[in-house]
Amino acid sequence: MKRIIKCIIFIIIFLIIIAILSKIFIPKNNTLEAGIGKRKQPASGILTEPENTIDVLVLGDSESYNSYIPLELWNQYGFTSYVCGTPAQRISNSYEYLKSAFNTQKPKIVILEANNLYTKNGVVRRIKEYIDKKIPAFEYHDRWKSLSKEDFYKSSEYTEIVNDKGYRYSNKVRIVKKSKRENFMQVNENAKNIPGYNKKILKEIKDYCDKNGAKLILYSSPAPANWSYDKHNGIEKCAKDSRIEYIDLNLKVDELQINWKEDSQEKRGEHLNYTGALKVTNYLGNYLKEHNELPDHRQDEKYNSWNEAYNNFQKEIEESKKASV
Amino acid sequence: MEKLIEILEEIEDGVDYENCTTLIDDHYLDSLAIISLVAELEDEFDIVIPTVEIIPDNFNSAKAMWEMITRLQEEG
Amino acid sequence: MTYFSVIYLLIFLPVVALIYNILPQKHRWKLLLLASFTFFFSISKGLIVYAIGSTFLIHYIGIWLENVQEERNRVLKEAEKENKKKIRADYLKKQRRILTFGVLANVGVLLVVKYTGFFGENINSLLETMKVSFRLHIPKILMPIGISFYTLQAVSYIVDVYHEKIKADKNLARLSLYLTFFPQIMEGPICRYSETAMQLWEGNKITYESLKSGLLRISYGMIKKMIIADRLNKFIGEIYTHYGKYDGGIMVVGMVLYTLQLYMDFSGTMDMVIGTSEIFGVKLPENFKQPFFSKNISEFWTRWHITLGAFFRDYIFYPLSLSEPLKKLTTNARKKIGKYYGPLIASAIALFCVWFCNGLWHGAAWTFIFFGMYHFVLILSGKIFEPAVLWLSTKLHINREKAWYKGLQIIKTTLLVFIGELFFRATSVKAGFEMLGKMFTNFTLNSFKDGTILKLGMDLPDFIIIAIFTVIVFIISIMHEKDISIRKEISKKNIVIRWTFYYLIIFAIIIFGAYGLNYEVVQPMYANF
Repeated sequence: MKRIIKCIIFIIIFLIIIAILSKIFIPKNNTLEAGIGKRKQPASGILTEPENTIDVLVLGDSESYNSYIPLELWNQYGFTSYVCGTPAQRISNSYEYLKSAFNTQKPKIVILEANNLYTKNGVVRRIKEYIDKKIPAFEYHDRWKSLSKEDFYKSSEYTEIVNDKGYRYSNKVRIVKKSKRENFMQVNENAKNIPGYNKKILKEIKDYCDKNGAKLILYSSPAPANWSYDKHNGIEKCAKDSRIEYIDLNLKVDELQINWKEDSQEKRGEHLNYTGALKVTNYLGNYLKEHNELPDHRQDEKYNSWNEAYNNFQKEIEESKKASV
Repeated sequence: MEKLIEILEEIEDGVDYENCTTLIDDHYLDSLAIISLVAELEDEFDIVIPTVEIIPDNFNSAKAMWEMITRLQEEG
Repeated sequence: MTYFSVIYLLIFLPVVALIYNILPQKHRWKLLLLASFTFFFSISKGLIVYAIGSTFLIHYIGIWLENVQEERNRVLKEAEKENKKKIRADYLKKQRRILTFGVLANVGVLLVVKYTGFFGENINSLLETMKVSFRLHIPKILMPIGISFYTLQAVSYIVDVYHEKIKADKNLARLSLYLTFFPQIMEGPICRYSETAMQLWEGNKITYESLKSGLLRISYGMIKKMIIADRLNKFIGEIYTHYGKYDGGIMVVGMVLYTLQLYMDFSGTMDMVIGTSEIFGVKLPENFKQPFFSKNISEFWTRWHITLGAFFRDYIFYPLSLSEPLKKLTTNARKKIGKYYGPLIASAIALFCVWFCNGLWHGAAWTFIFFGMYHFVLILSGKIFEPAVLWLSTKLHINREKAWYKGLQIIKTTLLVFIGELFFRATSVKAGFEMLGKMFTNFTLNSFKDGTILKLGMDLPDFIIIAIFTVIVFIISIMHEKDISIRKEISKKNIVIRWTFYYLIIFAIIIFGAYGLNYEVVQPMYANF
C-alpha cells in the first residue's frame, strides 16, 4: 500500500514537472526562430490573418501545400485562400485546423485534399497524438538548444503573418519514371475502402462545414506515386454518399497539360513542383469561380497586404530561379 | 601439480597460478593459450582432452586443471 | 515495433508485464511465448514460419540424439568389455550424422536467406569479367527478424545435447520460448539453453525490486541509445555516404564517432534487453564488459559482443583446433618449431575460420569479410610477435605492469578498433581505404575552423550533449570496472536523493533524447546482421 502511494506521488511530481517544462518549451510565437518548426510554420499563419478575411480554406497533407497557390488565385481572381496543409497531416489534424481557423475566419469554401483519407490512423498513432497534444514538452523537447529568457515567463502568442499563405514553393525537378507515370490511372471497377475512422471524421468535418455555412469540396492533386483508380472510385463513392463535390485531377492530367518531365519533384511523382502546382491552381481557380460566388477584393484597401505578398512571392520565385541557375 | 604450474608459467608468465581462480574469467589465459596448454598437457600427462572438457570451470585455476588431469588419467 | 519505440515501451511491455503478474505462475510462460510470437509477427509477419520450423527441427533432433545416447548406454551395459570401444565409436558416428544434419539444416536456411543475393551478385560480376553472357537470376528473399541470432542459439542447443552437456528438451513450447524470447530476438545476446530456458519457463513473479532494477537498467540503455547514438545517426550517415566531399580531419571525427555510435547503440540496446528480462526475473548473459578498457584485440572480443565471441570460441574455435587432423598437426609442429609456435599453426587455421565466419555473420558484404580478416590478422600477429615484444620490453627494462604501459596498450587497442569499425561501416572496402588514406594525405583542421563540421547534421549543442553524456557513460564504466553497482549505491541513499536521481534520468531522456520529428527514425543497427 505504501508503495502504491509512493508510486502515485512519484507520477504526480513527474506530471507537474512535465507541465512546467511544456510551458517553457512551447514556442512563444509562430516564427522559426521561436521554434515552431518548419512542419507547422507555414500553416500557423492562418491564426494571424486579420479576422474574417479568408474566403477559401485548404486542408490536407503534403499534396495540398504542393499544389494549391493562394497568391496566384489572388492575383487572377481577387479572392483570398489559405492552405493549412502540414506534412503527413492526418484527417483528424485537418479537422483541428478547420476548427481553429473558424475561430477567427469565416471561409465560404473548405477544400480538403483527399489523399489523407487513405492514411491509416492506428490506435497507437492516436494515443501518441493525444499525448503530444496534452504534453507539448515531447514535441518541442529539442528547444533546449534555443531557449531564451523570455521562454520562462512569456505565454504563447502568434503574431507572424506568413507571406505565401501556406503554399510551400519548390522548384525541384525530377523526371518521373515511365513505370510510374504511364497508365497509372487504369480504369477499373474496384473501389478502395476508406478506413472507418477517417470516414467518421470526414462526416464530422462535413457537418461542421454545414453548420458554419461553408461548402466542403474534395480534390486530388495529380500524384502517380500514391493515386490509383481504386482510390478514385473509393473517394468518388464516399463523396457521392455524403453529397460532397469531388474533383480528381489525376483523371485530368492531359487536360491540365501536366508534363511529367518538368512538373514533379521526385522520380516517383509524389509531389508537384511550382510549374505543376500552377496548372492545378489555374484549374481549381477557374472551377471555384465558375461554381461559386467568390468576392474580388483586389481594389479593397483592406486587402492591400495581399498585393504586397504577391509581389514578395514573385520576387522569391525570381531569386530561387537565379540561385538554381 | 608442480609440473602443471611450470607449464602454465611457460605459457603465460607473471600470474600467481597457485592462488588465482579466475584465469579464464579475467583473461589471463585466452583461447590461443588454451590450445597451447592443451597440447602441452596432453603431451606431458599422456591424456586426451576432448572438446567437452574445454569449459571455464576446468581451466579457471591450477587446482581445477589438476583435478581434470587426474580424472582424465583415471578414465583413460 | 522496435525496443525504443513508443509502442513497445509504453504499450507492449507494460501490457505484457501487467498480464504476466496477474496470471498464475504456471501459465506465465504461455504469455511470454504469445508475446514473443506477437513481437516477431509484428516485424516479420509470415516469416515467423522460419522460427517455428527451426524450433520443430531442433526439438526433433534433440530427442533423436538423446534416444541414440540412451540406446548406446543400454547396449554398453550389457556389452563385453572388449567390445565397448567399438560400440562407443559406432554410436558416435551415428550421433555425428544427426548432428551434422541438424546443424546444416539450420545454418543452411540462414545461408540461403542471408547470402543468396551476395553470392549471386558476385558470381554474376565474375561471369561478366569472364565475358560469359549467362547471368544467374537472383531471387529476392526476405529475411525474418533475428534469424542470425536464433540460428546460433539453435546450433548451440543441438551441439550441447550432442555433447551431453544438457538433456534434450521434450517440451516444444519451452524450446520455442528459448529461441524466440522477445527481448532478445532482435539483437541477442546469444544465449545457451542451459543459461535461460529454465528461467524463462519458471515464470518468476515481477517484484517491486526487479521492476525498479530493470527499469533503471533500461533507462541507462535509453540514455546511451537515444541521447548519444541516435543523435549521431545523421552526421555519421553523411560522412560515410559522401566521404569524398570532406577532408581528413572530418574522416578522423567520423571514424571515432562511428565507433562511439555503434557502441552506444548496441550496448544501449543490450541494457534495454537485459533490463527488460530482469523485470521478468530472467537473468540474461552480459554482452558488453567495458570493451574500451581492453589491452589487446583478443581481450577486446571478450568484452565486446561477448556472447558472439563465446559462441565462435566454443562451437568453432575449440572443436576445430582440437579436431583430429589439427591435433596431429599441433603435435608434429611442436616437435619441429617449438612449444610456442607449434600450437599456433593449428590455432591460426581455426582462428581464420572463426573470423571468416564472424565477418560473414555480420552481413553479406565484402566490408564485413574484410572486417573479419582484419581482426584475424591483428590477433594472429599479436600472438606471433608476443615473444619479441616480451624480449624487447625486458631488454629495455620496461615494467609491463606499470599503469602507463597498460594505458598505452589500451590506446593502441582502441585505435585498432576504430579502424576496424571504419571498414565495418564504410560503403565498400575501397571506400574504407580511401577514408583511411585521407586521414594521412589530406589531414587539415580547416573543417573545424570554417564550421563545415557543424553543417553535417549536428550543431554545436549536439556535440556538447554527446560529449557530456559520453563522459557520464565513461565514468559509469570506470565504476563498473571497479565492480561498483550504481543501482545498489543509489538504493542506499534517502528518498530525496533517490527521486532526484530518477527524475534527472527521466527528464534527461525526454529533453535530450534524439527522437521526434527533427530526427529520422533509426533502424536498430544490429538487427540486420
